Amino acid sequence: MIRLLGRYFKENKLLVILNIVFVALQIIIQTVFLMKEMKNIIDNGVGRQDMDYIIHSGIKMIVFTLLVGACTIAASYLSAKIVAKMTCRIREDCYKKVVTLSPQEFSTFGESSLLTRTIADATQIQILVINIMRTSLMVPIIIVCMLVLIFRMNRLLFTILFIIFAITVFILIYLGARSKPLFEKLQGKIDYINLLMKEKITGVRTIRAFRNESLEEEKMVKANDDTYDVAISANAKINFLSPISMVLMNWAVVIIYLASSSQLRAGMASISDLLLIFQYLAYFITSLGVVPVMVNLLPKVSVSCKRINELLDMKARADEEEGNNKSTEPVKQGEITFSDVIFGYSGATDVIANVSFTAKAGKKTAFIGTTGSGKTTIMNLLMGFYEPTFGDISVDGVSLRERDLDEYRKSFSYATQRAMVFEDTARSNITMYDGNVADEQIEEAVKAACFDEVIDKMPDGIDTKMAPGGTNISGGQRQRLSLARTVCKDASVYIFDDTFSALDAATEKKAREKIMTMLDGKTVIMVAQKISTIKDADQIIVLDRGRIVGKGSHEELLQSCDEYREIYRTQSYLEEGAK
Amino acid sequence: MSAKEKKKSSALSRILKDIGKGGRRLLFFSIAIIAIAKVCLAVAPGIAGRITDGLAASAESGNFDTALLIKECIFLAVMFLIGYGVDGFVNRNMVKISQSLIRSLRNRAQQKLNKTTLSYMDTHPVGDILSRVTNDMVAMSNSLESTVSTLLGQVVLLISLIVMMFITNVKLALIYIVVLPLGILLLMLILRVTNRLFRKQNNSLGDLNALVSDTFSNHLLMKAYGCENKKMESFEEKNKVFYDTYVSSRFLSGFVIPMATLINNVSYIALCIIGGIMLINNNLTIGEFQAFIFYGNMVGTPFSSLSSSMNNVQTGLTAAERVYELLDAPEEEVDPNALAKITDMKGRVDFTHVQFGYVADKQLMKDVSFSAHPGQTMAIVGPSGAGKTTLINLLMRFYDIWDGSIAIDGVKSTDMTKENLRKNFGMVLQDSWIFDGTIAENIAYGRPDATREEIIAAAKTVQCDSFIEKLPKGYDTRISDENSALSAGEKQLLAIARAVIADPPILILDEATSQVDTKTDVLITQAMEKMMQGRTSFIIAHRLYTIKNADQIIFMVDGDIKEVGSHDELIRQGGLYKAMYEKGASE
Repeated sequence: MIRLLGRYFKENKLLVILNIVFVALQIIIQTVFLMKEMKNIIDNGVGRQDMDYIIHSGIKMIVFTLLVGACTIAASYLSAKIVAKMTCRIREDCYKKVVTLSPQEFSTFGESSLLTRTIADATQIQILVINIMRTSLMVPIIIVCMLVLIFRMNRLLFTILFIIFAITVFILIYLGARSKPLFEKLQGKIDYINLLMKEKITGVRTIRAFRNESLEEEKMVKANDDTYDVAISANAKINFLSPISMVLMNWAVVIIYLASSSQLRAGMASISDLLLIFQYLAYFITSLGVVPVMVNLLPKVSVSCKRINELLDMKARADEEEGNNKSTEPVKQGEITFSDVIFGYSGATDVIANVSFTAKAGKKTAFIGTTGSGKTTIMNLLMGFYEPTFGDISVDGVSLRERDLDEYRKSFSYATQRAMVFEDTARSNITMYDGNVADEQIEEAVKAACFDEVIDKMPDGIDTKMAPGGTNISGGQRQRLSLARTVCKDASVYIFDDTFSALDAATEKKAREKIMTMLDGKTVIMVAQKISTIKDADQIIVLDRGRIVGKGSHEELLQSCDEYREIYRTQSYLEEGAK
Repeated sequence: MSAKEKKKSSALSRILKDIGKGGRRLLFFSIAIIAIAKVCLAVAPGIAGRITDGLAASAESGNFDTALLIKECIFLAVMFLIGYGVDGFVNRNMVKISQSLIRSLRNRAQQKLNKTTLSYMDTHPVGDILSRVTNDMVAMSNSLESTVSTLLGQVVLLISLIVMMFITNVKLALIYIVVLPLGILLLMLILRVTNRLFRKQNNSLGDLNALVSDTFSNHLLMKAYGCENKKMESFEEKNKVFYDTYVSSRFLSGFVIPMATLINNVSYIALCIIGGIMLINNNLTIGEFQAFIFYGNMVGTPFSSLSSSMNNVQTGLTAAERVYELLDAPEEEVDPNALAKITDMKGRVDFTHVQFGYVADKQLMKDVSFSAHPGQTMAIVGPSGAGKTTLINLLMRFYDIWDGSIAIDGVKSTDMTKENLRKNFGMVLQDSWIFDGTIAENIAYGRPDATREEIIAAAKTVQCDSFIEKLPKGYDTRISDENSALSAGEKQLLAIARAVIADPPILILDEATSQVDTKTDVLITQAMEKMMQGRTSFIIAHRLYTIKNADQIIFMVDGDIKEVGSHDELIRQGGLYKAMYEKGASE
């Protein structure tokens, strides 16, 4: 936590120092001058019956208070600026880091975990920093200021106050630390209740169809009772936290009375000294209000900082490669060769093994196989999203390891398996922010993907804004948008990862034929579940559990490949039924 | 009182009702002791002043009454102990009250979710209902926990302080009576402006977060099309907007603190000057002067915390309103007791002149009649969005029909209890619902008293035992909807196993479409075929094979049933179904 905050504080060193200076000034003027003047009034004004002195002091005090106000305003402006700068910077660093991660690196964190880091954790830090810059910063300065002032006034009272102060701080920290694990446990229980509630909402039809309402109720009541117990015991640890410290700090007044009575009699201290010390004490107690807040906040923020550090510290491939002279040669023909490629996600068992094939330039190559046979993995490797564990992939004779991947991908157009949509206009989603795309080109792509029928029905046509996740259009319509985007891009290689499956039979056929005509002469890679989709491909590659079990045209495979025949047979079964 | 305020006050009175008699007693007790505590606090400065006066007098005269000093000091110490120590007990009570409240509200909310009409569930987004039963409840209990004691306590403290000031010295008390209201006015003014700015700031943060979440969920797409720079640019833009709104709102809200200090200081200065003069004229003792310095310090705190407590109360009440809205959601009608009960159902289903619509002014079904005979397979067919689920909604009585009747084995479904009706249906939807629990528990959901053998037998029937046994812990592998090793197809197989174990006379099935590989698809199809034997089945069908082999086809368009009959009959009729069939076959 200290490392992360330290780094961002350092970036705003000047502002932070200025802020500290103003806060310190504010405190010093308040205590050393403004409050001290009260003692002067009693000692010099009242003591010598000097009315003018009192008026004069009053005017001085007004000047001091205006100075205090000015310092506070300056500090509050500075702190707002520091917090904004720091948190915007933290968010930006996290975001940019995620943007540069390769999909392989992205998947090691997972989407929801990255979201938590960039959004929730950054907000936690923001709350902490505002607390530090605004109020917590005052506590140590006030402590130092108060102790120095009292030390100079009266050694005995200084010693007493110092001891009381130390005891209070110890109790606060001790109780705070004891409650931490219980509150973490409580959070876990609450998360579980939230999960149960979510299940109840999404599963309402199933629950009622099976009339399992009482079963659900039992689960919830139990979880609820558990949560109640933990909440009570966690809070039991902190209920008395701030009351105890307040009582102790106020008892200091009583103890000072008792301790100073002999000094007063001996003339070693004056009543006005007592008044001033009480005044300092009150000022300090007020500022202590921030301590319970910090005790609550710090454990949470330290977890947040840890998570953000994990993200920022990650050595991404993109960072390492910066400045390397990799080939920026564009892919022209699009001849793809896989040589003995082996790959497994995160070191687990291999998802694909010994995959070798050549996809000829300008031809259509199709992949077929069951779920988990490694089709999408091969596409991910081809796009350079993932690196093969062993083996080599080369395109137009240049290995992917030698290529600058950002440049390389410009020659590819990829339709993902799940149709993805940005929360932006349909137009931006098709051109992908390429301002050079001509309107005719867009129109042609939209027509080929049968997306024009969808556009006609949308309120603002192609400039209609898509909802997050594209939920304002149906799954099939999103798939058409994805197809339009893919064919709109001017590329050498086109990849369709099972993109046609969510379309109804009629649309699928229409779109596929149009698109294939449009892409005649380009290298096309297709992944499919249904044989009917890929029958016409120049080369069909059959995958089973990560291995190639057949290569050839439809007719050849029907002759030679058992797995292909099996797929063909089961699909006929689904179409026509068991005979 | 505006409607909004009325709602808030009714939320408040409902909270009071819901914390129960014990809770109310505890609450009033807490309020009473906190009031006593605050009065003690207000009295303390006076006692301290007396001690100071005593010390001052003894310093001058040399006569020192140690016993009196100790007596007074103990008195003062007790006042502080009560004044601040009571907070701990109040905290404890309030935690108890609010945690019991949230516990009972959660239980009621989940009962509500069991009983509420499907129409309510369908018209409210999942996220909205979820946040009512989670975040809003927490906000409500937090506010109850923290504000009741502070808010009421501060009010009592304020009043008793003012009373004590007047008792001590009227002239000096007047300083505060003049300065404080001025201060409040100023603070309110600032708060009004900052509230607007804070809203702006929250909106800009919302925009920023929306962009982050959109980019992350489409990370692969961004990589594939290389639009990283564009996404960074829009982030920087939105981040800049957030920066500006943040600085301006924080800076202005930052004025609250200097203002409060300024007001405190102004009264402090006035006190020093006027008090000093009064001291010279012997109209005031040094102890009284000191008491006023204490009063001044103490009066500042309720002021700065009152406004934040008020905000807190507002937040809590708004959350409470949302919670109570959910608890007031309409419930499915309770069936009268003396209803027909079918024990040995054959599975005949009759629709007679059924009329239905989801909203009052939009009728979907105008006049639908058909009969499904026991053991028949009914294929529900229609273009996407035709409302195939409408039929399921009516069969299961998730929604009630407007007119006409639906009869099961000749008994009107409204004449049975929903419990009895639904017991006879098994339902397998495409988007299978999996809950957090083991695989065995998920299968046994169809019949909670099923033995392990029966569970395994059901899994074998639908041929999903092979993939279950491959999992690390077999049937005891924990799965959940959000994170599980199962594919959509495998989840659907589990849902079918669930229906197998329930063994109902009537089935509702949803045929898989895409995203399921061929092998799993065959397994699902075979499992469904096996289930349908000897049962009346309604199957949402996509495959020509299923449709053609069905005993009857229910053809739906726009939520209405347009045609019913076998494939051959409908082709002979030459209506909408025929048109669709020919269009599909030609391509």
